[in-house]
Amino acid sequence: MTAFFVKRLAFSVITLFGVLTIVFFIVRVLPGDPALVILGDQASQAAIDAMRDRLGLNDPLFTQYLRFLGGALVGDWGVSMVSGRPVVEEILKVLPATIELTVVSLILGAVVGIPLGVWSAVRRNEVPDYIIRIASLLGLSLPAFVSAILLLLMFAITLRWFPVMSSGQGDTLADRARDLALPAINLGLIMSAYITRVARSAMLEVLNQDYVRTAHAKGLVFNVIIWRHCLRNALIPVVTVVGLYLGILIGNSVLTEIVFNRPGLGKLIVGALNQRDYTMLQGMMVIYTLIVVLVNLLTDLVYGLIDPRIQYS
Amino acid sequence: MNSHVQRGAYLRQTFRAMGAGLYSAFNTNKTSWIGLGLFGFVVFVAVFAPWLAPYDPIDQNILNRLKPPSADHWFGTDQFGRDILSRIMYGARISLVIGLLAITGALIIGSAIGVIAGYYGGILDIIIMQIMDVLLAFPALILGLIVVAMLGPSVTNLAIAIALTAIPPFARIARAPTISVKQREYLSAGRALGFSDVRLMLGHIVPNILPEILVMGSLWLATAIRVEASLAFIGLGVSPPTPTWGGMIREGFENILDSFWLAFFPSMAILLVVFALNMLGDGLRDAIDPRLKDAG
Amino acid sequence: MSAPVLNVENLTVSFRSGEAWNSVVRDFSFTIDAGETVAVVGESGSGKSVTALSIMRLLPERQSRIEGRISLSGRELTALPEPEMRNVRGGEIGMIFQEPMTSLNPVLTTGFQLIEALRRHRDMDYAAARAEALRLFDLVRIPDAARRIDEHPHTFSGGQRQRVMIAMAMACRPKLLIADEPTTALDVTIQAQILGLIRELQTEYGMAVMFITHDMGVVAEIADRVEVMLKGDGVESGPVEQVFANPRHDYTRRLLAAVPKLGALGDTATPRRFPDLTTTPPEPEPGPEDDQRGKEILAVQGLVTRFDIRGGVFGRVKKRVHAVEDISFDIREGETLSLVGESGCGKSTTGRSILQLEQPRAGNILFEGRDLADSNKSELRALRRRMQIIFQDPYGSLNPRKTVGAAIGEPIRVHGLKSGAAVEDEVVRLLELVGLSRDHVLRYPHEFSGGQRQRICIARSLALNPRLIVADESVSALDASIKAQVVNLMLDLQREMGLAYLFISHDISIVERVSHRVAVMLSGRIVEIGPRSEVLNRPVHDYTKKLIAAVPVPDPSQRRIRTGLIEEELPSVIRPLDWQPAPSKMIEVGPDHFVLQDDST
Repeated sequence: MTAFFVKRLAFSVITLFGVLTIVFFIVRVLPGDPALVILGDQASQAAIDAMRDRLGLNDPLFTQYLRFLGGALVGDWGVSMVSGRPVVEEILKVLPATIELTVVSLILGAVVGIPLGVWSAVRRNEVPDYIIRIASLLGLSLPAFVSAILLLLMFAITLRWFPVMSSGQGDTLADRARDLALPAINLGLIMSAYITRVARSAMLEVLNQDYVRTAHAKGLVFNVIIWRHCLRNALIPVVTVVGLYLGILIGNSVLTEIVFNRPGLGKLIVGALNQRDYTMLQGMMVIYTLIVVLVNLLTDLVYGLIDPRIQYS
Repeated sequence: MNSHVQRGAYLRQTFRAMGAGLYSAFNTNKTSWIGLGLFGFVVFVAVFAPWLAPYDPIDQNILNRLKPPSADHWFGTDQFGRDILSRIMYGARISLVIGLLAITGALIIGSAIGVIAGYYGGILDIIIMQIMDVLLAFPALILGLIVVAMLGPSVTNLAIAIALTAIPPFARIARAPTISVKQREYLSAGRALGFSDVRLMLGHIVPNILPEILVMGSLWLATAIRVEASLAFIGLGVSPPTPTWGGMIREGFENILDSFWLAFFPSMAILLVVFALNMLGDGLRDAIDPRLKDAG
Repeated sequence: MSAPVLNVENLTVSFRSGEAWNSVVRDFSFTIDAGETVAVVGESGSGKSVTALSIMRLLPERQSRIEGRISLSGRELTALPEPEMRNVRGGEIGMIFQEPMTSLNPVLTTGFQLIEALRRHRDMDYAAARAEALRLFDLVRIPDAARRIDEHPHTFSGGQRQRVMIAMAMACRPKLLIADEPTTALDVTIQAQILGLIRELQTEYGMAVMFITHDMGVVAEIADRVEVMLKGDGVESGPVEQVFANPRHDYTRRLLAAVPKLGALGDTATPRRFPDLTTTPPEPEPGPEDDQRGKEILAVQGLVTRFDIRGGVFGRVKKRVHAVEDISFDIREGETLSLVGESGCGKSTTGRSILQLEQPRAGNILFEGRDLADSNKSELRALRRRMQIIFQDPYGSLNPRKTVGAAIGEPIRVHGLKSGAAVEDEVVRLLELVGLSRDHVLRYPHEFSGGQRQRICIARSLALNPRLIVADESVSALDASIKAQVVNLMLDLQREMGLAYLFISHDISIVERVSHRVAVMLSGRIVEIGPRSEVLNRPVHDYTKKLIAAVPVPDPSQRRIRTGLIEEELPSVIRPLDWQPAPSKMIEVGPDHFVLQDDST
């Protein structure tokens, strides 16, 4: 287990370098000029040159790469070109709100999705299965902003159960929960659609295994077979896939934050885009990379906890 | 040797096998037909939009602004008095063109990467797939957002941005069956018979994994259309006044409190096409997934 | 006499296909008494496993229908409510399955899975159940039981997992034990241990055993009575001695004739065909054949093939699998050399290394006098054309998306041997050579049976006019009667074309039938090699003796099952990096008969 952990940790560090490198080069190799992006089409050549100089874009590519990497590692991600405050500070200010939203949604997604997926698999090709499959297919067909708007129309505008705008900075716990409810439901239900489907197909595969037949042959009760023998095996692919869906979760959180006007990384990145805050964008890429790598590490660990074959090797 | 004839025979055989595979998959899962029908309807509307649309999608008519749905304007009008139904019909063109361009590109490049990594294995495989896995975990929307922001929003650039985000999944999808086919004894037999790597990959692996890849293609086309709409909603779509579904929702969202139809109908359009594609691809995947074939 | 433990009367089992019901077992009746072992024998698709699953009521309810009566000690099982049936399963009937590798839950410890069964049926608390589980682990002879009980299945070998399965089935002292092909997936020496264990437990607990198998040798070793099934019907039934000595049904006769009896060929030097029993009157047992062996075609000298096991943070090589370790042999034209051994002994790797499908670490492979290592690319290509391989899995070795014609024609086209219409003529010629016809050209592999597919594979390998064919377990997956036919085809082709075979197999009985010479492999080395009659009739090496002794003899009068065999596993070939293998030193013990010099000699 320790060896496994150390190995995954080392992998994560390598991955971190890899992604930072890829992100850096995607941005630099693409034909767009950051200076032009910042200043707009009407800018004079002199202004563009000055901006390029200020951003260090006239240095050799490799120097820029080293500077980017070095800065990223020591937490010096530059100063926002709009607010003038350090990028790290701006990001850390809104990060908790995004983490709060995604973690609550993920829990909601798992709590709803896993039982539904198991139920659907057990009742394969029966009415509950059909209903769950259609519903989950609808769930993952909904772009997050569409479902967010529909929820907003329904519960905030028509029924007025929840606030239209959520501050995410409410004073009391109840306030925070009210603010969090709709965005978390939006994100959580979409996540549960994905989890339901993975849990269903994983469960179907497990139900077909020889050891399930063995369990039946021992005379075990159906529920014991499902929840004790099958679920843990089925969770192995579910955990992997949830790790892979992290990207979708993050993308959806951006859209959700915009619709509900909730502070977080999503609003920050869109703001940076609109105001052409180049350093902020670069910082955002680093933080997203960090999140992705960290969550992948976490998935691996959970995986190791579930699958005994990993603990031993 | 008559390599043309040979290549022709190859392709014929590939397509025949593929056609047979997909056809039987369709018949195994009837919901695929519904998905195909709905998607066909959307494609039909997109292609014939100039003849089908009741109004010009761009002409403004300020007198007629923000009208709720009526007999004249089934889906109402927007803040410039443009007919929403007509704009939705034209908007389908942008969504489909960008989606198809992006997915075709990603399918070809991604599958090639996956097949090569899976076939050769070893260090090459480890490196390629590590990169792909990381890109896969990186949020597609954020990557697309950054790329479009750098390139500027145009149909081609949006397609490139979305294709970039879809290459890793195709590489992954192509690699897994490549490895399982590679372990089949007919590949060892082929090597013993002196076939080249290229022949084994193109002639023996690709035809076997193609149905799977095409099915995933339909699922990822759904994703591509969703990502395009999301980018447009954030403000990175094809520039106005060209109608795009995401853009229409973005504009409609500003008037959400009093004119819900502005955002509602384009939302339904996106839902329809994405749902249709998901139904199509999901049904087919269930039918061709060998792991589920014997499931009681 | 008391009432039978199991009484099956007029059992008919049907499966739903669309709206219709297809019966897979029809009107089948048999009984099993306490302390009795009844073998249910049949080839694949005979309905023997379905019968077992019907007794346990483990078939999917909606897709299956059971008619007839099944009673256990007088209690009718078919009408029993599900909760009571659950008490029967694992409580009164224990069951073990064919695949020990997949029959245990990988995420739960073996001990827990056993304790679970005990607590379910025997109303024990955890501590008592654990103590009983430990006793059962000892009973089925799992070494170091106190430690192993807390380990997960993946740390157990196949034979050990089957022991755990047996412990689980025995947990509640069932009246009836159903063993569904319990040794089919195991090596022959492990099979002997498991058969011994089952017999021993039966004597101790006096239970009834229903033993399902396709292997007449195993039947002869273990059964008191036999039920023969053919395509869902019980066709013959009787005491084991009577069925073997005087089979009444045609099918039983064919089944028995297709079973090679080890030692049947005596001291003759050449292979011998199986008699063809499908003709009327049946062909008599063929006589010995002429020795048609020619000059040496393949020489393997000091072949070594190893695989790296990578691990750790940077994927460094941690250990090595010494799959093939310094082996040498040769094969002459028209000769069959068989490589026998148990799984993991390196026999398949040897075959694949000769064909360069694996990269050997050391050694020379001389084919028709040319060293493969010294040949350049185009020479190697030409040489490799003349060596072909046929694999075990007739389903995996044909591309499912290519017609038979395309599969056989492809190598001819690729190597430019023929072109245009001549290719098709050649394909037809090859198909007819292996007993198929012109009509099969445009069909896809899934339309053929296993035996036919193996014929197609043979035709494809013959397309390049090879001199040597490596047959890697080529007939192992086939039913006995089909196996005999394919072996006959291979022998006919050898006689007509002077082909040399490297016949790789774990099945010594079949090896006796096909080979001129035999090499026995253990842990990557050849431990004994020589003329077939010498190696099989007068084995010198300990391992060869043990291997031959473990082969079940299809003759109940020669029953040799020994109980009390201790758990013994084959030595691992995974070694640390610094392990220095000693060179293989062979001692001549007779004309052309060599034995590896090691601890046992």
